Amino acid sequence: MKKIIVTLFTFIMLTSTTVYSKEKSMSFYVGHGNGGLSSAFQTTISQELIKKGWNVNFKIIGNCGQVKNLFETSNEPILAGWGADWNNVSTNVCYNPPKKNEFVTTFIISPRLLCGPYDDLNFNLIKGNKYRIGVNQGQNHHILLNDLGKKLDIEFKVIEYKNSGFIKRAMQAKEIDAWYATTGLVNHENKKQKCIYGTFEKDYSNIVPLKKLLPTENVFSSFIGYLIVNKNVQGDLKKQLEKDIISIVNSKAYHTALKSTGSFLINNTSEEQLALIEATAKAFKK
Amino acid sequence: MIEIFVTLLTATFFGLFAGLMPGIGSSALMLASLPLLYVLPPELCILFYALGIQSSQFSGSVSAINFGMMGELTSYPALAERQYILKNNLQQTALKFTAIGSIMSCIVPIVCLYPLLEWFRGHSLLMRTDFTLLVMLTIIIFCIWYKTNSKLINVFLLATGIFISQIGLRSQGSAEREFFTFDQSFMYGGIPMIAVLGGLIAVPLITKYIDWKETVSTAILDVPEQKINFPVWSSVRGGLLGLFTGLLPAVGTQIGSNLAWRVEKFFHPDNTHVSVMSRLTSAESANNGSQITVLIPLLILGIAIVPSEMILLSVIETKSWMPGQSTWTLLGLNFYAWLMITLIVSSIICYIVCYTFIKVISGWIGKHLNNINKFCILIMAISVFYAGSLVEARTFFVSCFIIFSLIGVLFKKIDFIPLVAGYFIGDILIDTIVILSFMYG
Repeated sequence: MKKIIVTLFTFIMLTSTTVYSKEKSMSFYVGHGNGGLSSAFQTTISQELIKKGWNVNFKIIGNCGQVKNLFETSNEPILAGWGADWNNVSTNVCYNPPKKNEFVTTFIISPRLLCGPYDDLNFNLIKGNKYRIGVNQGQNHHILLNDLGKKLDIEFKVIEYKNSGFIKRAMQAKEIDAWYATTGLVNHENKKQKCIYGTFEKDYSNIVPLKKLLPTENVFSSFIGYLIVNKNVQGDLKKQLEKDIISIVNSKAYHTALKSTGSFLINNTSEEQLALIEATAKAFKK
Repeated sequence: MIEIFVTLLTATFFGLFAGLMPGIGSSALMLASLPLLYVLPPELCILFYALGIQSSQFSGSVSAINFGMMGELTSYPALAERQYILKNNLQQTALKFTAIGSIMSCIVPIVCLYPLLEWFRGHSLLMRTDFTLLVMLTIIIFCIWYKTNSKLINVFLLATGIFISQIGLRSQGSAEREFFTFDQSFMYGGIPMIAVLGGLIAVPLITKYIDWKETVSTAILDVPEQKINFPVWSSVRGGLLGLFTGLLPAVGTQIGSNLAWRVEKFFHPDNTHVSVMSRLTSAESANNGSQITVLIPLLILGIAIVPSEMILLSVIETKSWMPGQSTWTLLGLNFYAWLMITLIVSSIICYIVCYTFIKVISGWIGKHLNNINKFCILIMAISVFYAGSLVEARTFFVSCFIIFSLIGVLFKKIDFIPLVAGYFIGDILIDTIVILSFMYG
């Protein structure tokens, strides 16, 4: 019996490595953690690619360092999702600003919004008051919020949470008075929550763009997710992949799904998308 | 719809089977079900867990009465009363009462579960990070006082578990924190969960049971049912005790039935038919009641408090699951509605199987017990190895797996649950401390 188990173990370990023999084959690795919009939309893209005849080895690795290492060292064709915020400092393990030859497309833009509690449609920031505000960990939002506080003559006590799920829970628990996160737009539009400032280019649904109040580069802190390919996806393979992915992210169904989460995409050229990613990375600098 | 149906049936029958088999506890059931859990959506994984564990408790006492073997600690009361039951031909009555007690203590808390969850959600204090820290501290205290290990060993295991959980590259927004990775990319993902679980729990279990042989004396079930009234109040008392003990970290589900049995001894101390049946029914009711409330910390705060639940959490965390924020619906019913419906249907299936078909099943299992047990252990081994094959840094995984397996086998007298608990609460504990430092710092 012991021999059978050892043999089976060896067999599974040796045979489970995927063999890339087909032409339209690649690995699709997700560096973002689970529970977020980024991994959810990358899952959608992988499913659509499979429908288009691609053989996709899709894995949510949830660790950008591991994905970056695979991306750089593997001999397999790899498609990977990246976040613009990871490129804020070159010392970051996940620092990987997109080069034109490896960039495919942006797949999600989620504006960051300053929103009040649930069901409080009269929420406003009142001069002289102190507000506990929930933000995502390690993204240096305290810089912008300190500047905003000074501008509006209010004080923000910034509390950093692991992800927007935990920020929402903190709001439910009345642990925070407001959040500055990439969530809340749907509730705002459905009149279940009031958002007052956001990282928009123009006024949107009574939400004031932060750039109107503050001239700093930290105001462009929307979440931007983009797809890149490694050196093993070039030439015709890249062209075919790019064509298929762009048709997926431009589809009506994909845009509807994005809208339902308060996200969107802008119909920009590759160069404009790359410039936006670069500008966004700067917003997360210390 | 088909996925609910498949989950309901597989979880119920896997659970019933696991309960009937000595050596296949709830953690082993979850480990053996890993390949199935990986393909199910997170909500169905939770349903699978709830149904499987509840069913295994349903049939666990049947195994104790029938074969005289204790699969899990929860079956101790049934085993303790077995001699009297056999001597007085109470087998049929015992099976019927344990089945009714189990179904009663399942349905009442199931009906209460949704309002309970809503109540927890409505009371903002319980959703606060301070409260999460309190739960964490309770888990730590229970782990330190956990079972047979000395307190010092438990503290060491717990601290080691927390330390291991922090190894790797942790993404903190746009900044990354490396902890004991030695700049090696294969260590970015940290120590794989399946290496810790598989090495410290599954492998020792496999080595213990792989050459297991037992000559079982199957109890004769073909005896007339005796005319004793069902002890309703004993069942209610046991069920209520189970509801509360289910919330105790690490040990809640295990001590529920034993505590109810001991409490019932106070009301029915003598050895008469009524007293024995009351004690047994109370213990079984507590057993099933605790399996429902154990879900509350998981569904509200995302904290697993017993080992089998930790395995479930490790799977659903990889599937975009957030506690209390499920938007999953099917045929217009949400997750909680389906949880209640499936638990009730599963309880009825368990009742029918445990009471009506038990003679046929126990006869077959009694004949092939040794081979079936080996088959189950083999399934668990394959499942663990399959889960390991999904890990990205495979050489590192295999190395970790071998190291943890050697530790698990060499120190088989040590119960590694505090280490596993430390591994699972490590991240939440550190995050909680960080948030509180922002709040009060």
